[in-house]
Amino acid sequence: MIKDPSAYTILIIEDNPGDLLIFTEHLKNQIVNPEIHTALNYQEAKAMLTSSGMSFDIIFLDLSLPDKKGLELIHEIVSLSAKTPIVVLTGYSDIQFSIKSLHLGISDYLLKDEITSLTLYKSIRYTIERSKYIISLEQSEKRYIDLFHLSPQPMWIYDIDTLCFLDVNKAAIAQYGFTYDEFLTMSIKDIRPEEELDSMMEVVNATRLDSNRKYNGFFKHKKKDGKIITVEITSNLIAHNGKTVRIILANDITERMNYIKAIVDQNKNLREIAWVQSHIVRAPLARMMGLIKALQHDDAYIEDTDFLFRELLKSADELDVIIRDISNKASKININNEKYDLGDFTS
Amino acid sequence: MTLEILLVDDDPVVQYLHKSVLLKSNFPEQKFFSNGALVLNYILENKHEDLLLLVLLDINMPCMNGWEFLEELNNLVIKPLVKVVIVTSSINGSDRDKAKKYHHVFEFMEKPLTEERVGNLKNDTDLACFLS
Repeated sequence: MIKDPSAYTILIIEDNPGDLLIFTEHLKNQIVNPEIHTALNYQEAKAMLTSSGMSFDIIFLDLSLPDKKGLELIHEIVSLSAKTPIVVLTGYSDIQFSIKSLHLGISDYLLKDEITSLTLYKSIRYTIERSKYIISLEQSEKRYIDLFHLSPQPMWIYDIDTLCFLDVNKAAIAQYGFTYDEFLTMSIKDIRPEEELDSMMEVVNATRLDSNRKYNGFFKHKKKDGKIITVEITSNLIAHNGKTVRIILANDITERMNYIKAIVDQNKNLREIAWVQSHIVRAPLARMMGLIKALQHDDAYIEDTDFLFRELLKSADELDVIIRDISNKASKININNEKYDLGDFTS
Repeated sequence: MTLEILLVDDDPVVQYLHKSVLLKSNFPEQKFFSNGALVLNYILENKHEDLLLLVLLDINMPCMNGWEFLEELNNLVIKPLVKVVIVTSSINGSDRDKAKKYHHVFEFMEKPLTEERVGNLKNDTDLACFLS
């Protein structure tokens, strides 16, 4: 028979030396070189499980030890085992209890009198594999929860019937100023300014049963301190604890909107400047050009050249006044009044 | 059909210069108006069907500016044939683009008016027979 060459580190918690001997033999029949540790009572087991540097692939646990037994023993060992799978060793008299213990964190149970090398080996392999699978599932679930809770973008989940918050992430807590517990007593209406409630309900009702599911839009939201912010909302329907709920991603774009407004205002100013240049500044200049042309051609039609010179000077004075006026106005505008942090665009 | 030339500008010196340029180019006599409202009134009182009106129109004027005048002109039901040349100090491209939206406007000239620019008007088919 081919023995399993893999390395196993096994802890057996068993006070009966005879049972221990038989058990060890069974293990050695199937596994080339198992690393077997034994504890004869709870105190020894506790010492081994809490000592650093000790880690086990699987723990076998007899349910009646001299210093602890039954339910209390299971609780203690489960809490010390740090997710190492535990298999209970039991006699006929305890079998009902062993079955019940499965929901306390016990992975499997074996009837002592029925153990063979094969059934024992099979239990070891099954239990270890299943435990690995469960741990990877838990890690995967944790990764998804972290993706929500540690996302830098504010997110929450709400009940599409009651509109109550079901979960909010850290970024949302930071953005709105409510604590996690406060959020869970609130509905999504509580982060809207009064006048936005009607339009919010329209969107909520329109998207509630939307099979397309996705929604994007801009809204005004109210923070805990009463400050109104503009947010860009992206949302989607998802399944959450067996219920269909809506997940919201809310990006504060208040700053961005301010930048856009500043640019729009600047453009308006530029258009005004262009108008002034064309209609106010160039008017006397065009007149001067016309007057000079008339003088240059020594027009027979023009009776009074003095008149032309007088008007030329008047236009020049007018132009001077206009330019001084513009210069005065410009000096009053503090162009670098506001500083915007737009990141490093210069490189 | 007779041609009348209407000069619309609020600046008397500009009126004087336009008049001298047109005179040198052998254009017929002109009538002068200092804003859009005055020239609009004149057109309303003289809407004969056998009249051709050539309007040299400034944009920036008090009371009714050039654009407002063009809007009013569009709203008239019965009107003589009116051909508008915009004569402005503006060198702004947006004014030039805006002028193209009015079907009465067939020319856009920057001030100062010169004999060369005015001479181009004689190439217009409607005006050629009146201007020599």
